[in-house]
Amino acid sequence: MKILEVINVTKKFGGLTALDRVNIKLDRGELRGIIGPNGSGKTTLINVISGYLTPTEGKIIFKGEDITALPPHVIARKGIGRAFQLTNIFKSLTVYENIWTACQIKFKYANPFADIKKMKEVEQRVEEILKFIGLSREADRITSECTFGEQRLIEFGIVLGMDPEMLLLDEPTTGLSPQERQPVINLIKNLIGVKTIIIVEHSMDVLAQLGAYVTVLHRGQILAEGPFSDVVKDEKVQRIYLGGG
Amino acid sequence: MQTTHVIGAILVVLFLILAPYILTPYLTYLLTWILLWCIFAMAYNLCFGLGGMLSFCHGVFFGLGGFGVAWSISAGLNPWFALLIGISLATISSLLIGFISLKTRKTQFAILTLIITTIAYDVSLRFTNITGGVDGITFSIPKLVLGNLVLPLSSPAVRWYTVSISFLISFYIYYRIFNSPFGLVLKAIKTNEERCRFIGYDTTRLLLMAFVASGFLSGICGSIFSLIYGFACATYFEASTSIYGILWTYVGGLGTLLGPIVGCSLLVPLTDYLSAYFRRYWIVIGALLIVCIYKFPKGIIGYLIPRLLTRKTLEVIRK
Amino acid sequence: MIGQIVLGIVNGLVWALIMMLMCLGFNLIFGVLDIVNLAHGEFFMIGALIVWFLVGRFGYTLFLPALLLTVILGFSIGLLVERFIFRPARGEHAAQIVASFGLSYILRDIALVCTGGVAGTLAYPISGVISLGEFSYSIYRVIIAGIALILLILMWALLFRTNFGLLVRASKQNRELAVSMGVPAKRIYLLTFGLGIALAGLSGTLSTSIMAVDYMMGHEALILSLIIVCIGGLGSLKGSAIASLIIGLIEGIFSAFLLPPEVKILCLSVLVVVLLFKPRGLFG
Repeated sequence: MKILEVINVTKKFGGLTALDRVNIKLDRGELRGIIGPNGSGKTTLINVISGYLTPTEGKIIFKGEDITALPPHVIARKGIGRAFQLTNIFKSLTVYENIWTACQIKFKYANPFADIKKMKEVEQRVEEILKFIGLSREADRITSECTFGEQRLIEFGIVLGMDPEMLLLDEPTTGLSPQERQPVINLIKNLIGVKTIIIVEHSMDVLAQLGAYVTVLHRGQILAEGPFSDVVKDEKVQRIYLGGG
Repeated sequence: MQTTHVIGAILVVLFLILAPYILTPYLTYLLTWILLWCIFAMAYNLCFGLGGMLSFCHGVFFGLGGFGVAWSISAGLNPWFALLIGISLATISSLLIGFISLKTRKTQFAILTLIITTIAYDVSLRFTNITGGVDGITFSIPKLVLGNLVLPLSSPAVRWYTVSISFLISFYIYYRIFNSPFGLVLKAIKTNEERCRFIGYDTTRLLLMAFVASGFLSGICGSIFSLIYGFACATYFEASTSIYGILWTYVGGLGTLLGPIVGCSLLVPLTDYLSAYFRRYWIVIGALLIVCIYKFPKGIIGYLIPRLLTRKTLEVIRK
Repeated sequence: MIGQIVLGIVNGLVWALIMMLMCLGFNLIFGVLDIVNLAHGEFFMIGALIVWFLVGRFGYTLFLPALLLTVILGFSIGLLVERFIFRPARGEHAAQIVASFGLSYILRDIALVCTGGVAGTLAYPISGVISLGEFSYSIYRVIIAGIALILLILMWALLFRTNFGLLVRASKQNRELAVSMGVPAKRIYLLTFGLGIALAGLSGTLSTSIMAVDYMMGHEALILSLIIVCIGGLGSLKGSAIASLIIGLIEGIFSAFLLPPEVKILCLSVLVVVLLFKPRGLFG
């Protein structure tokens, strides 16, 4: 069974059609890249899958369940973790608290009388994730004081902390210098096969390194699909990137 | 728990037990008054400091707590029942008001609570036969019956212990919430609600829980107030009650554990003094609000502490 | 009975027009400057007090000068308020709310001192009535409604037919974009703020014979205008226009049958119902 099926999804904003009869099917553990020029609907697609927006037409099936009209927090609980393009972390909390907030969701968090210091399982997970993203030593720093690259890693940490089955990554390397980029790419590489990943990217370099299977969006429609190396040679794709579509 | 915390707690409890015997009657009276309002300050901090919800209608919860007790005692019920009714009224109203208001956030939320509180006040003034209008309801202060003991609540010592015990219970609830995973989620929601939703938190439900907890504690404050002073009045429904909450939490340090208690303890005697000698004291309060919001975003305490204490003491406290 | 309802409708329309001015002011300030001004009601009160003092002493020949004075004073005080009360907030709504609330306490107390706590309504200057068949209505109220309507039309023209209005609306839509396009943002903001405050004041000047003039009248007007603004949608000019009509009519019609607090509960209920279906208001 496909883990995710986006079926004929259309999203209109008044007169503007951001997504036009988009169909995507993902296998569990697959890494799928979404590319396309600006305004092609990539972020709208992520917004629709994660529940931030409801499609005008079409359905989204996740693990066999129709999640089309569900609110974001329900979809998140079902196992879809969304990372944001503009860093959307908890700026006034420490790195540790950021990750903890995400990890806590799988445990009993709504009990006002539970003692946060006694939640050893969460503590363990937080430390695992901090190690995974390489920020163990920065744990007590307030995130607004961290570098941009570190904040991107924290964004990752939050998504991983949720322990989702599918990750939606929206331009995770944008704005990072080449040195800052590599840890992020390595992180994603380590997750291939373990988690299902949809990655929206502009950087061809990143996608080449990841060896992704790629879907190309243009004006809300799927223009081409295939392994990255093939898609990049496709004439239509080259035209929209170079010729201005 | 750390040793410093335990020592501090023991000292506080000792003081609370001995106070009526070591303090003058006036001081006992004043401290009873302050300690009672500290409960409200803690309640308000849960809502505004921890949950980030600027509410103008906390006076309604306080006031309903008071009226619940007043009506019950006037109807002949015993004080325990009266407390139950008062606190329940406050809690239920906070559930209803919270449910509606939390359809909105931030500015609209604040405006909505302002509208609700003003209308509640207007309505209560209309029904003078049950609310006593501007003068409120007075009733004879009952006696608390505990097994074989009959304690007159009009006695300063009994009042003191009633308030102290209520304070300790409220503080315990408040403290547990602060140190719970729920408390952390509230902090996270206050910082970035959208992100919390995408992690999977039903933020509206969680904010409502915090709001109701806040209403519950406000109800305790209002009910005890009414019980020991024999007085309930609709003027507490006004936005001004919440303004005090805002002031105390801000001055003490918004969102900190002890901040509201410190703020309340400092400002209550100050405003009482002001109102006694200076008729237009609301001008001062208004100015104080403006100054505090802008000059002391971390509260006066947050501003003074780094400047007054040495580094070592700071580290001890932070642990 | 029908007569009462018709009277109520007309009264409601008059009140709606006055409230429309007030809410327009609030929404301009919120929409363009992103400022929540809870002292808005106090400027309504100031306008009313100016008329109360000038006209009360010297008669209605001073009515128009009073209006003018309100506008000038509104602008000037508005600029001071923006500089000292709102600018330090740097966009944080919570701080604006608390600070403006503090300001309203200060202004209210000053008004209390000035008026000595006396309340009243100004007598109508013209006691005649206009008759249409069976119904007759106070000429003065018609004039008030007329003035309000003229002001509203002027505002509409200003916002939708002038360059200034275009800049204001552009700033409302997208402040950053407007600034980066060279719009003289600061000037626009200050003028808009002054305009918003002046509208509140004008709204008050027109109300002196309709509601009691006292130091709490600003608070009354504020709450009502907030209900309207929430129903219409924070920042939406169209929303507050329509919501003013709804609330105005409700107030007008039901004031004959219900007591004031009960009418307010009715208005609140309308707000609650709207919020249940559209949490951001009708056009938010």
